[in-house]
Amino acid sequence: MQFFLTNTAWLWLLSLAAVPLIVHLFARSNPPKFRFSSTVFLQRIMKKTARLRKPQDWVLLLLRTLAVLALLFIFLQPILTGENSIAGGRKTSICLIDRSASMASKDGAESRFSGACARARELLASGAADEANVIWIDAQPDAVFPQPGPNLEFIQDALARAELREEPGALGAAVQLAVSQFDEVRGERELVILSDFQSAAWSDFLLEVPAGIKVVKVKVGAADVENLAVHELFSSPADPVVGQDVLMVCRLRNYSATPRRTTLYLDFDGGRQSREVEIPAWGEAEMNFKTRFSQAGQVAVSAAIAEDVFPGDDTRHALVPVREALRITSIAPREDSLHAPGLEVLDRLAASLDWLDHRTLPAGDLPAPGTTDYVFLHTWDGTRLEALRNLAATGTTLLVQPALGCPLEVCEKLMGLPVTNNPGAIPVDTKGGSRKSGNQVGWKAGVSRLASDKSPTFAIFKSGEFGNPAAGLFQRRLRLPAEWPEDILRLIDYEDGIPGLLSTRGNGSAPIVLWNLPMSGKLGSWSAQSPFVPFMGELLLTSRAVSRGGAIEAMPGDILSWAPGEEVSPDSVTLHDGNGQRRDVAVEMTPQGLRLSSTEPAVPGIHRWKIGEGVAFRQVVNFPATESDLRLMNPADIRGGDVVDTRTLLRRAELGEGIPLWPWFVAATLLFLLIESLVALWNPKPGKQARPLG
Amino acid sequence: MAQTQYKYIRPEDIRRLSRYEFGVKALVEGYLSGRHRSRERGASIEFKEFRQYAPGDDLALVDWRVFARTDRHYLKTFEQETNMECHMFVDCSASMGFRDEGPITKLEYASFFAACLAWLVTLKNDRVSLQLFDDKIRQFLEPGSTRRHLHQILTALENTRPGNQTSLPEALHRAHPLIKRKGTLVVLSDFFDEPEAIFKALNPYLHRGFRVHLFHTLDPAELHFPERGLARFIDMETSHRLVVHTRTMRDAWQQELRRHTQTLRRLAAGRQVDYALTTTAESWFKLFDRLA
Repeated sequence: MQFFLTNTAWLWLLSLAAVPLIVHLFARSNPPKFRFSSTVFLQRIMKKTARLRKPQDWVLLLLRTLAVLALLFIFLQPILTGENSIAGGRKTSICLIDRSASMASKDGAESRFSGACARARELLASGAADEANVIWIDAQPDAVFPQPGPNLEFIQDALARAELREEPGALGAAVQLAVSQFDEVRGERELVILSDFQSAAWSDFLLEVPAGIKVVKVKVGAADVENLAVHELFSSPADPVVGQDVLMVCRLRNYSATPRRTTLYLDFDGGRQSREVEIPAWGEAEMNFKTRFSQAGQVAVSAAIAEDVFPGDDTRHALVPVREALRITSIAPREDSLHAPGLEVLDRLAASLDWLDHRTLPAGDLPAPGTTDYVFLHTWDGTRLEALRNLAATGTTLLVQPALGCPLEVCEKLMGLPVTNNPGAIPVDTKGGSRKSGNQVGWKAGVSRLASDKSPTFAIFKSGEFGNPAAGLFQRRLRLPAEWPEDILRLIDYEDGIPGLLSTRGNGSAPIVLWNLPMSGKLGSWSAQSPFVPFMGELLLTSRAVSRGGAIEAMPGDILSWAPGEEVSPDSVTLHDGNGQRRDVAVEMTPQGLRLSSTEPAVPGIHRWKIGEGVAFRQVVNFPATESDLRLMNPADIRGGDVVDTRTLLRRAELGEGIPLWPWFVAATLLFLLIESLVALWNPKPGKQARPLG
Repeated sequence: MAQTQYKYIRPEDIRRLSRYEFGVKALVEGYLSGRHRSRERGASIEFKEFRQYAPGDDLALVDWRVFARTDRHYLKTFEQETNMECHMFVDCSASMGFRDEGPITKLEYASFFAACLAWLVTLKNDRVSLQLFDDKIRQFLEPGSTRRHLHQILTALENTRPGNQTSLPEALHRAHPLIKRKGTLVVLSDFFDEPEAIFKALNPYLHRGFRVHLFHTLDPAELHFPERGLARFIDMETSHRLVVHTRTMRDAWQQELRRHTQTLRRLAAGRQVDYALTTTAESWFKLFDRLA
């Protein structure tokens, strides 16, 4: 706090503070003389009361001096201002108001966001700043003004009209925006952060602002709020084909210290399922709904629980892209290769499975990422390693059958394994005999002993109805090492332990299957066996990349966009939000073609791009999961800035303008005079134990 | 005497004194057989007591009739009537010149009383002496009962001006050998001395059988302390200067003075000394009642 004198022209009055001292000294030095008979008693009394009398005299002098000083300060018109206030300087305040989804939580009847806006309005109304601005902390932080401005009334109106957004808060971007606006500002700069300081959002945030910017943190929100949220909803597989068994996985989270029980509803395709679910304290519960879809296309699925105190995250949506068919692309071997008939085997397999399309690319080609679900390399020579890994990373499952002479080292590299000290090509084992001669020789294979009992690939084979998935004999094989790291799934092994099919787990990418079971009829009889088709069907369905449909899910606050294709007129396309409300669309021509974008940030719900009356494309926007945890943190734990409550903030605002102190000095003058009177009236008496004279 | 030229004897005082008689109940020791009883046995018609004969006694006083009855020698003694002696001690130190609320100074008050007492004593042919003292005996007039002696006393009182410091004990000590015969001792002072010292100095007189009257004379302002605000008090005896605020000192002063007078009164009562406090605003005639 700083102390200013407004009326400094009267500063000379302060010299009058010496008047009581002068009066005191002169009054004592030259009082009227009085000849008295004897001062013996007086001396005795003075000696007895000096211990009390002298302090009393000094106290009286002090009180009189203070009274005069207080009286003089009334004329000097002092003002008390804020700690960093610069007299006559300009002050710029930027209010950083959190309007992320967690601010919807209510303390009583008022939401935290409303409270933050109200406090910001009070702050501006108090005249704390000459110029101000408001920056919203949401997914895409923006400001009311491009630069802090003096039109505080407009900002107050904007605060009154502001609405919460169910978006996460981009703290760093918001602070950065505020700092950039302060760059052009001179004078006192104050950044006021009004937020609930949700622990999930702020705990890892590093609040760094340049020196010279005063940071004030104002916490809105009294206490943690218990919440139950639908945390995740996805299908497994992410993009099933028609008729495929699909598991709709729904995960609920309990953000409270007590176990909660609720009913989970799953709506899709016009149907509804419900389950009772109990979620442990601060825990998660997963509910699986098994279903299958009869039509291709985007299927909207919604999971909901009974509404609680924080309803924003009680519903979650998912769009399941149900596909007509999966595409497997063969990279053709050389025509003279013994594996060449494998192409024909896959053609027959695709003809047998409605949901599978097969096409062939010439040797040396690779499909573009995202254009096929599987790539079968019938004779991989170990080249284009990075391109293959890229394909796997983008979700294309690789079925790799090493060619003769392919080194084991590149196979290990492709599968992301540490390279063993085993240079040279993979050795090849061959057994003679042919069907014609009737001398059937070859290796037998079966489900690996190391395969998991729970492996979905072999689920239908457990009963024995479909026989051995690797039935038949194999006349040639690669002699792969028998030992592989535990990360590698052993699917099919030869009887002597040589691996037949190995697969990576596909963490974060599509699986890569190392294929050592020749499909060609020239090299074995497996493809001619009845279990071949069901096994291949199961293998392909269970070897897909695990994804959760991110491509068609947008984050709240994002701009939704869709490229309808060149044949579509942009005028015929409309965008409708989850409530059926039409949203404005912006048209943009890009090198890739026409692109339509929403003009406003997306809100949770299923958004529909319509061409005419028909729904052409859907996009889902879900409540940000990070906003469901409504536990708050102490703003003091965030490094930088002061933590103040609202009252203190307003008090500081008042101080910034300056508090006129003259009424206080009037009161002080009266108080000092009153005390002076009381002290003067107080008459210390000599002690009762005083000795009599003599 | 009706038309008096003396300052301290006024006609109205004389008329009033005519109704008074000094020492009617007092036993005195005088050289004249007179109207006062004496503790000395002597020739008179007032029988006092029988006393066993001791060698040296006057044989004329032996009561032979008692001897005849008891076969023992007894003396028949009689009360001796004699004249009375009154010794006046008047404090004329500087503090006695103080006057604030009273009509006259304390010295004038004491002088009026002493003059009247001297007139009353000499009127009955009794003897009166006067000691004017401050820290020593300023003037001593030996006992006398003549008009001339009275004139000397009145003149001395009129010519006395207050000055110097008080020392009653010193004055009593110095006066003791000057007073030959016991009598009545009347002290007029403001008693700004230590009570213990005063009574220590009085002890020889009391031992000799003096009847002592202490008349404590104060100005009314000294009783309740004058209201002067912040003032520089100058001691009239020592010229010591002291700045005090009278309002804050008043209670303490009164308490201190009360303690002082109570001490005087207590010590006086223990020695059968008469003590009276009077102010200059009161009539000095009330003091004659104490002498009756």
